[in-house]
Amino acid sequence: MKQIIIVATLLLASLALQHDSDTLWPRPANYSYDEAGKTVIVDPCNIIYVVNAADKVYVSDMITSYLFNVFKCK
Amino acid sequence: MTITVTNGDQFIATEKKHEAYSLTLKDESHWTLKADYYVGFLRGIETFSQLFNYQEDGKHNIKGIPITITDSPQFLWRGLMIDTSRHFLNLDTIKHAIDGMLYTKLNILHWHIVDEDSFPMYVPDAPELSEGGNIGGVFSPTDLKAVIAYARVRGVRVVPEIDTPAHTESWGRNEKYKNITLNCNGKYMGQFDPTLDLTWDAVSKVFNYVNKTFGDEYVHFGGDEVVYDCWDQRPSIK
Repeated sequence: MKQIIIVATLLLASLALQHDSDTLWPRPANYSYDEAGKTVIVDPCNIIYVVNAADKVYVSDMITSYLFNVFKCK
Repeated sequence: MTITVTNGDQFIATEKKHEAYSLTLKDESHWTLKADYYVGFLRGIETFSQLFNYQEDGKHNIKGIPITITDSPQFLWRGLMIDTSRHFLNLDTIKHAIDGMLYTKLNILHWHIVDEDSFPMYVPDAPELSEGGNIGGVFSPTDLKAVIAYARVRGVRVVPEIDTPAHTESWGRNEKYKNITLNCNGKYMGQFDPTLDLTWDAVSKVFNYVNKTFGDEYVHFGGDEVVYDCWDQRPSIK
């Protein structure tokens, strides 16, 4: 009986995680997406960023940092 | 993608709302990231980067559009501790750890910088402490400021820990301050003699320097493993 409960708990936890996200960590407080929605092929190095910020320099520098350090853009 | 940050000057979160953001991918081309504060933008751009899936053919995709995310942290204090006394870490390693904190949305670098094993922090008014107390390297004032600045831009607050009054053997590994710590009969490594003016001289110099350099609201004093018996070995304390 105990084993069944453990397996059921793991199964439920697994399903819950699948529903929320298997890629986002830590999980956002509110996350909604369309399971049957579009899948977009996108090159992260070619996204155009329009920045509206009081101090654009830091925001732009951080975007650049992500492009080089996370997405390995050249 | 349109990124809007209302207030650019909030680098360090002191309230949960500072790290809040919303991220919307309405369709294939209308994507927005909005944050009231810079540090909220940091949390949002990290989430955005996690939406990408890497394909076997080398391309990336994002699934499930439209996507709507609104987020703010459950906990304001999300820390990582590094101990540069037991194991000296060079600046590149510390910066690498801070990068990791950015990618995992941790926001407090608890820098256990000094302990019994070594004193790897140069204090201009008490240079003897690090001259005798370092075992692998010493952080200069410029080094500390570089770490703090690097962390700040990544939304990471640096809180220093100077462990006292126990765990202070390294403070006494020089001629000037050799008597300010007791060896506690080998139980623990060093405990201040609070009856000496020189002890307070060293403590004042170190904490004034730490307060001035880190400029944070908090300094961690340690305070652990104080052994009362240790003070019995010196009649002036007993």
